[in-house]
Amino acid sequence: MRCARSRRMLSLEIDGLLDADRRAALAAHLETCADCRRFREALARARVAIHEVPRPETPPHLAGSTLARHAQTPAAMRTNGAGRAPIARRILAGLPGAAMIALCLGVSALLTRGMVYPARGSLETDAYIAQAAPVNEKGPGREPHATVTGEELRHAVQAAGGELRLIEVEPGTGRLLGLEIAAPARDIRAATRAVAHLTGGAVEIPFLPAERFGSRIRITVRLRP
Amino acid sequence: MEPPVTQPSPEELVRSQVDRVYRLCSRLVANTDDAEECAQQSLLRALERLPSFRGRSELSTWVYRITVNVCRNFGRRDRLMRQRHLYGRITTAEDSLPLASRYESPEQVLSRVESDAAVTRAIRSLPYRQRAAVVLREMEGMSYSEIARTLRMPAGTVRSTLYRARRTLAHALEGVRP
Repeated sequence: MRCARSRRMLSLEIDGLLDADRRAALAAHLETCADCRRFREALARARVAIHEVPRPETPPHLAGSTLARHAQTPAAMRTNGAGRAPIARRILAGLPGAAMIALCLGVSALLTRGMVYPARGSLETDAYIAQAAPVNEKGPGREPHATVTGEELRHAVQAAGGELRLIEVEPGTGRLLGLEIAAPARDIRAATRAVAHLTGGAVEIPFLPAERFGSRIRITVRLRP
Repeated sequence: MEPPVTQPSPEELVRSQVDRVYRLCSRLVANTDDAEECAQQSLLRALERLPSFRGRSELSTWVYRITVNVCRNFGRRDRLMRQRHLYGRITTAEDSLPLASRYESPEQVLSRVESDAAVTRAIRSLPYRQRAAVVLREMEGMSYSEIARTLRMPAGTVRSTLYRARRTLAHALEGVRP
């Protein structure tokens, strides 16, 4: 018999749960194993020490105070006896959370209602609406619903020394929303001006370049709606 | 069809179980104040759930199960609170034991108190399930099947849990006077 098994059996022996055969096998092992004999003695010592710890005295007021507290608890506040609150109470308890989630969803729907997620436009011959309506009727070259093709934009930017990298359009309407232009720092203004000229001047240029790589700058210009 | 169960009145339940509930709580939680609080919570919970008691087990086993769960949850909360340094010290057997006895010299009393404190510390340092199993077996005298029902574990797990607990205690209490 291995010592690990013998020690497990010693724990069962304490509780009188060993049959005669296993008791005999254990006794045979103990005769030859001093470690397991020491373990049995340690188990017995620990057990005696545990049993000698005096029983704590129950505070005399505990039963009375518990009954008083129980009597003070309104019946409606108690659970229904199955350890769970009644179904109506559980539904009511969940209402504030549900209301908060609904409120968050509503607010986010309101905030994103007017948002347009742009699509990528072709840089070729597709035509886009450069200006949906005149922003300022006194401005030069402002015609409602003026159209411009991707190719025209690309050539204009190239002529100014830059490169048209991306066209963003409004899905469904084809309205031009923005352009990404890359150009050397000295040409970026000319490239932007070329875009402004083609699109009727309604161009918003970001205050700072979006990204600088080497001597070139990449910016995204937005067209005013 | 199950025969109808005669349920004790709230007063009968509390009076018949208060001692064993408090005793169990005082072994499972860190100090006497916590033990009193846990005992009261356990009895209140038992009173609330009394209508659902079907008599499938002994009333005492049913109350023990509630108590073990209350103490475990209290221990978790207590550990979190202690980690945040909000309150508390762990009291030991010295807090609750009498320091004078007609039949013992002061040295004997001191030795006994130290021994009991060591045992209490050793038991409280066990993992919760081992602690509950060893307290139910050694201090409350419950059978393996009752412990299995109380702790909701298979009988084989009770055997191995008790063995591990006893092995740890045997090592921890090696120097303690029996």
